[in-house]
Amino acid sequence: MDFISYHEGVLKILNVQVGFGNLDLPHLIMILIGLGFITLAIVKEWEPYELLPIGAGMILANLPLTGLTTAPEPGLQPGMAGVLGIILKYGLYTWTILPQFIFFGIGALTDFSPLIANPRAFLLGAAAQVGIYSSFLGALAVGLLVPDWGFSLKEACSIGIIGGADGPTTIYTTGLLAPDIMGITATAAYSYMAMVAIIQPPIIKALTSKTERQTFMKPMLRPVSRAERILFPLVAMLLIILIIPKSAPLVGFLLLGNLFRESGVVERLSHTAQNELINIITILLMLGIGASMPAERVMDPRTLLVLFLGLAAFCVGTGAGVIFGKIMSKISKEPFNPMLGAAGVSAVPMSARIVHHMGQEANKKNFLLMHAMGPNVAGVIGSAVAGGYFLGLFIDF
Amino acid sequence: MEAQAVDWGQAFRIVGGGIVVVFVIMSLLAVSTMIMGKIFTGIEARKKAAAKAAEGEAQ
Repeated sequence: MDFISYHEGVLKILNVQVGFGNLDLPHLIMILIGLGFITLAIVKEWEPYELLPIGAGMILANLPLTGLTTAPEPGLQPGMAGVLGIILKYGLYTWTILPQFIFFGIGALTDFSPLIANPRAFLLGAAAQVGIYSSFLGALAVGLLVPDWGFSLKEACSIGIIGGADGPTTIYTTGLLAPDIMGITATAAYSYMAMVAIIQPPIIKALTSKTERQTFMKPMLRPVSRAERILFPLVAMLLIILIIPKSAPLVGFLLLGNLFRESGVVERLSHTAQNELINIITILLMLGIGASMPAERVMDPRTLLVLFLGLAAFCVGTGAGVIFGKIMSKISKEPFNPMLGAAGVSAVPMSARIVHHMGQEANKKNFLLMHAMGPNVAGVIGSAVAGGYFLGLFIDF
Repeated sequence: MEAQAVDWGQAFRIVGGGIVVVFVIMSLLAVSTMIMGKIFTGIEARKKAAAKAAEGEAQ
C-alpha cells in the first residue's frame, strides 16, 4: 500500500466509518437524554425496569453507523438487519405482539380481589379515563392555534391514551395508530407513572378538603372466594370483548394471564408469565421503545407538545377520578374517601400507594391501600377498553 | 408526524362515544361482579348454616 492510498484509507475511516466523525448535535442530545433516563433509573430508582432499557435503547439507536436499527426489509442482504430494527419491526410495528405479552404477564401478576370485593371501584376506574378524551381534544386544538403543528385524529388518540397511565396500552395503541410518535408517547406514559408521587398529590389536595381526606373507611374488604376469582376474568373477558372486539389483544391477554393465576392448576405457566416471560418481553419492548427514538424522529417541536398533552391527560384523569370520588362519597351510605378516585388511573400500584399515604397523613387510623387497589386495577381495564375503542374506530383487522 | 384539518363534529362524536362506552362497560362489569358476589356470598352463608345445623344435630 503506497502512502497516498494509505492516507486516503485513514481519511475514509476517520470521515466515514468512525462514529465521532458522524456524530451530529441532534444525535448527541438524544444520547444525553438516554443517559439522563439511565441516571434517573439508577439514582432515583424511577421505574428502573422501564427507564433503564429505554435509555440504553435510545443511546444505541442514536450512535452513528451501528446499523442496529436497520429494519429487515425485503431485498436486504442476509445478516444486514440490526437487532433493534428486528425488535422494532416484528415486535412493535408489524406484529405488535410485545405489548400483548406484557399484558399477559401483568394479568398473571394482578390480584383483582379488591375490585371484586368492591365493584363500585369500576366506576372510579372509568372516571379517570376522562383525561384520555380531554387530551385527545387538546391535541386536535393545537392545529387551531398553530396550523403547521396540528395533530391528526390518529395521533390525537395516541396522545390522549397517555392519560391512562398504562404503558402497554399506550405502546399498542400508538404502534397501530401513529407509529412515528410511539417512542415519545410510551416514554411519556412510563415517565409520568414514575412521577405519580409528584403529579398526583397537589391535584388531590386542590380538589379535596382536609375533612374529606380524613374520611375513615373500614380497613378490611370482604373475603373473595376462589370461584369468584376464577369466574371474574372469564365474565369480564366475554363482556368487554363482545362489546369492543378490538380491545381483545389487550383485555383478552390481561384476563387470560389472570385466569392462569387464579385457576391454581397451571402453576408453572402462571409462574413463567409472572417472571421469565414478562422479564424477557420487558427487555425487548423497552429496548425497542428506546430504539424507536432516533434524533430525526424526535427533534421536532411537536414532541414537547406530545409530552405536555400527555401530562395534561394524566392530570385531568386524576382530577376527574377525584371529582367522581366526591360524588360517590355524597351518595354512598357508608363513609367513602373521595381520594380513592385518584387511584383510577392505571399506574399500578403507585397511585394506590399515594392515596394510602395521603390518607394516613390526614388520619393516622386510615388504611386505604386495599380500597385504592380496586380503582387502580379497574383503571387498567378502563384504559385497555379506551385503547380498544380508539382502535375500533380506525383499524380494521 | 402529519398535520391535517380537523373534523370537529367527528372529534366530539369520538369523545362522547368513548366516554359512554367506557362507563357502560365498567357499569356492566360492576353489576355483573356484584351479582356474582351476592350469589357466592349466599352460597357460602347457606353452606355455613347447613354445617352448623349438622353440627347441632350431631350433638
